[in-house]
Amino acid sequence: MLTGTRSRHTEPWNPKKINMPDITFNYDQEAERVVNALRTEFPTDTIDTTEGYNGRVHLKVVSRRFNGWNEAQKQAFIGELLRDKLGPNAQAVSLALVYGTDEL
Amino acid sequence: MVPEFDGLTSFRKSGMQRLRDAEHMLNPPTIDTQEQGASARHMRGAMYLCGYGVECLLKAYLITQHPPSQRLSEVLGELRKTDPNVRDICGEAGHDLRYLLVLTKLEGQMNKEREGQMNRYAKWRSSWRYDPKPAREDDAKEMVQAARALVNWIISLI
Repeated sequence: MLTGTRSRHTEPWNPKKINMPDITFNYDQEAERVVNALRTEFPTDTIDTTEGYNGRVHLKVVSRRFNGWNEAQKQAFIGELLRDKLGPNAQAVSLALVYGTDEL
Repeated sequence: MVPEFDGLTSFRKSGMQRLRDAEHMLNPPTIDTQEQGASARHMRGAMYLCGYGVECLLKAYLITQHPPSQRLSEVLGELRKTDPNVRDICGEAGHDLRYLLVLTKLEGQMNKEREGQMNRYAKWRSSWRYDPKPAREDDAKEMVQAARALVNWIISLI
């Protein structure tokens, strides 16, 4: 279940804006959920989060496992992993940066 | 001191120009074409330049969200009236794309496709100009394509 709540619409209507639902997330709760979910897969690697817009989670994972992978492979892997581990709660992750140690 | 290129029109035009520069750099080189690694020679440069394309458009969009401001420095002043801790987006923080994304609130309007494009792109750093390591050709092409999609999207919102 999503834990976010819809924020109040406070800005003037702009016809050029896409009418996407502007959900607010509880960042601390979502970040903890994400880190806990990924920790089983990456027990000793770096998993870091920062807060994005309205409590969204910006995720960073650094692991030797990704050495030699291209970006498409890394994104496909982390996207599938997040969906598998978090289900609909994966929606709270708006950015996922995946690094091999060969990029450092 | 007001930055030299700080206005809405400058950001909008230069963003498109830097993106086109990046797309051009994906083409096969015309100098020393037989040299080892020639086909990937300009990939880092392409990735570096396309980052400025999105950065400039994010700044342009941010200006349009704060009328009647026409300059980024004016927007920064407005933002700091409500939050003095807003970082200096006319300086180094202006290269932090994830920070610009938060300030523009565009994150709240991104669907899964846009998030995928942003993920392809979000590793960008202005310090890549000092990175001597060649970039992968497939990564560079994907990143420039993602930048093009993002720029077209942001332009459509301005």
